[in-house]
Amino acid sequence: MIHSRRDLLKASLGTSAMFSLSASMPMFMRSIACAAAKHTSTDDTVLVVVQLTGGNDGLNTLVPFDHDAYARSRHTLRLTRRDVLAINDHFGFHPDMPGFERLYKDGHLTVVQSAGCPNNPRNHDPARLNWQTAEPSVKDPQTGWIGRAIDLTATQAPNRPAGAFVGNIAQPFAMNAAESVVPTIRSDGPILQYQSTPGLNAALSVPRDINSNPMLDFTSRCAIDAAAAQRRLASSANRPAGNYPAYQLADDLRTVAQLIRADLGIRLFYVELGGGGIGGFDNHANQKDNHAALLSQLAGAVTAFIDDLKRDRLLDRVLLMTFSEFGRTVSENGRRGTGHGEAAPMFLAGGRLAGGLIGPPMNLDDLVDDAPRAAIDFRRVYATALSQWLRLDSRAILGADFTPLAMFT
Amino acid sequence: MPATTHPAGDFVVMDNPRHAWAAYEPDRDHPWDLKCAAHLYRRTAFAGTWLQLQQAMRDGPHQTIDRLINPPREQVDPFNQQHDLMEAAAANSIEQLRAWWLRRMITTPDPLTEIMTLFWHNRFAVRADRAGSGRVMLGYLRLLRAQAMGQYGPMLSAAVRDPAVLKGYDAEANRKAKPNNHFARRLLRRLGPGDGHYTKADVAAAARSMTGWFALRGNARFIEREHDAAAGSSDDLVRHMLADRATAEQLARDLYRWLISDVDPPATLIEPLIEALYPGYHIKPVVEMMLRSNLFFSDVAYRHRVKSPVELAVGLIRSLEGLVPTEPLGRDLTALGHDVLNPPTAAGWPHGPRWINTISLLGRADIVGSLLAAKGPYEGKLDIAPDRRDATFVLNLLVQNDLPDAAANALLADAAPDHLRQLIHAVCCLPEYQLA
Repeated sequence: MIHSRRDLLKASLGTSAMFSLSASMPMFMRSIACAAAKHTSTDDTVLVVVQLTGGNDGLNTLVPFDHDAYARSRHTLRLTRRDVLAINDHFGFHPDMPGFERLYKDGHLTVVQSAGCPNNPRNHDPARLNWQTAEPSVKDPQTGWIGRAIDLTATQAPNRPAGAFVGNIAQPFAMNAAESVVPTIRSDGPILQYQSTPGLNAALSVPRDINSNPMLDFTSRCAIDAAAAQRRLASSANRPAGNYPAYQLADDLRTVAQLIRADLGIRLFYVELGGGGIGGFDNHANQKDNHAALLSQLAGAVTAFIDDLKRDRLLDRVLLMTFSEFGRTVSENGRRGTGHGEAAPMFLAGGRLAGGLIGPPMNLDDLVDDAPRAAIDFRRVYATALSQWLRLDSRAILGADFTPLAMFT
Repeated sequence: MPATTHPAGDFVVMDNPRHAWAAYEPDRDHPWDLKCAAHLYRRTAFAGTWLQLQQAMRDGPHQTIDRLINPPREQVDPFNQQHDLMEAAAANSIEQLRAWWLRRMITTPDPLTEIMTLFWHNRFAVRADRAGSGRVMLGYLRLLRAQAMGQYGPMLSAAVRDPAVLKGYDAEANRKAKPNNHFARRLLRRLGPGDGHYTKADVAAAARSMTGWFALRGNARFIEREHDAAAGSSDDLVRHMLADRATAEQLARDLYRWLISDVDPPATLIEPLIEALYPGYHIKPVVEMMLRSNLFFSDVAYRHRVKSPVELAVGLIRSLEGLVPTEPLGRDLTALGHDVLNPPTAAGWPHGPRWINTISLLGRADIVGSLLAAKGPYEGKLDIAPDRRDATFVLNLLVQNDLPDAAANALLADAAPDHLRQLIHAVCCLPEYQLA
């Protein structure tokens, strides 16, 4: 019987194309998966993407406080030199982002200025989809850029999940994968908290007749891994988790930190701020207080996360990256808000960053439809994170070569 | 005997396709038993209740399969009428529609039709969030359900001009001046002969056949002046697709994976299925042939299919004869990567062992824990019947004692009669329970 099955497996590997190869992969990669399970993932780098939904007003996040055009165009939203947390003679963080100022001064925060998408549609859904797929020209896109990175990583260790979305909204399309199942983990729900019983542990450890069934072989191996992962998660969750503020994003990042600490092999995390739908950053009216609250949450949550990881000596393994589908117009509209724009800064935080500002500053003297032009294609930032941080083939994921930026020490 | 080995060894069936697909007749070497009955119910009804399994053991394979394939109309018709009405009333919300579909899977007297509707949905792979509205999605699901065990030709003909398919495939305007090659390629790749069996010229011709079809405000419309008269009609395209034997082969392989095993079969086993499908593409006789076969009741198939999250949850609920609120169930299954109205890509869901990794197993454990919790979103509605409070019964019902003896004993030693929910939970975390 065993021979017969081996012949069958060989036949299916030899005769058909990728379809059967991918389906049977876990069995064939049994020994590899076994080796991978033994290899600790403590050297693996982790990327955490933070989606700011709605189009963040970059000009009021990293503020060009001394620029005439900025001062002239913003009547109710203008922040002066006295208001901002200045990092040099021209730029300062929004006053509600003291955490970002500190991270910046400590060298844990890098700003990619003037990042954006070419041919920006200035319309939330298609613009966000461009950032999520990283394939702005593809019709009917099927996968997101994180999903493709997950698929690529999963081929190395099929028993491990390569990515997870942590949050309460529908999973963003960026995570959409063709060959991997990408879980959503909710911070307010049961976080993988099932406690295994002694009876179950004993039952799992009884060897199965794996030669008779490759599916049982793979599944029983994963079940043993899962029980071990659960124990690590439980001890990770029981540790005091640092000083997180009481925001959804902070809860989600605390969960991410727990999952990193538990060493489950997840290398790509995705969280969101703004609340799904059109998104809280879309401030066409009465922007001031709403935007300030969101920036305060962003800076507070990210800073707590970075501090938490640093305390546990995990920060050198982690890179966090924010993006929003577009920036906003320089001019204020008549309703104390701003319109859909173009470029905006992306913020990167982590332990191996060189820090500082990258890319040309937002140019307020050369506007397109009242918004600063993008000077750095967002896919260069993605390519940097993929190739230089995660050590993945960025060309395979992004479909083309994009020159990475120098941002790591 | 190894834990999951069924008497009908695969030596016999793999080497002899004729014998593999011949109808299984119980004999002394291949007895009809609880394992066979539970296996049949897992594949055709998500799972069997204890009464159904007992009945099946008395009735034998033929009568049981008859009943699963042709469930009594006097039960099915009234159920469908009533459920259709409730579903239509809920169709303004995608989340509600999803909840009603899950409820149908749990309560229907015709579960095989739902399993086959899921099969077709996985093939057509229309995403609700692209199709536009719940009403459009409802129409699409009805189309799939109506032909789930019918004929592929009429299903495909209706589907290529269904508003959900047109919108979901990014083909809501098929203009004469701008035939949609992307749409055509999606049809040929997944629903027709498959990659390697069509050319660029086939794609261009297929796209021209579809010109004239538009999805306007949730309805499909044919606009004659936008149709390329030199090209065939959409029905001609479907006829062309079905005429290619490779279309039957792709369908046969998909059916094999859905009903028999996640391990790819040798071509010799697929050939008889192609012969049965081609050229009429009648689905029911092929499904029937597969379910009745020696192969189906051999260990080539036995626990060789990884349950999807939906199959796992619906199966557990059906086994325990319960009914839970399905809106939270839809959300929880979505978190496990199985948003049943939104297949991730044009290729449907990742299948088989790809459902399983360390995190997904913990996620499954969490869902089962919530389902069995005395309080919470599922309202404590799922439990073992009061007159069945017996640990051995739980094992027989859920895993038919497919466990190694030492594993079963460890669970039984740990099981308290007052905490059978805990035992059920533990059983649902076992590798065996992840396999159908």
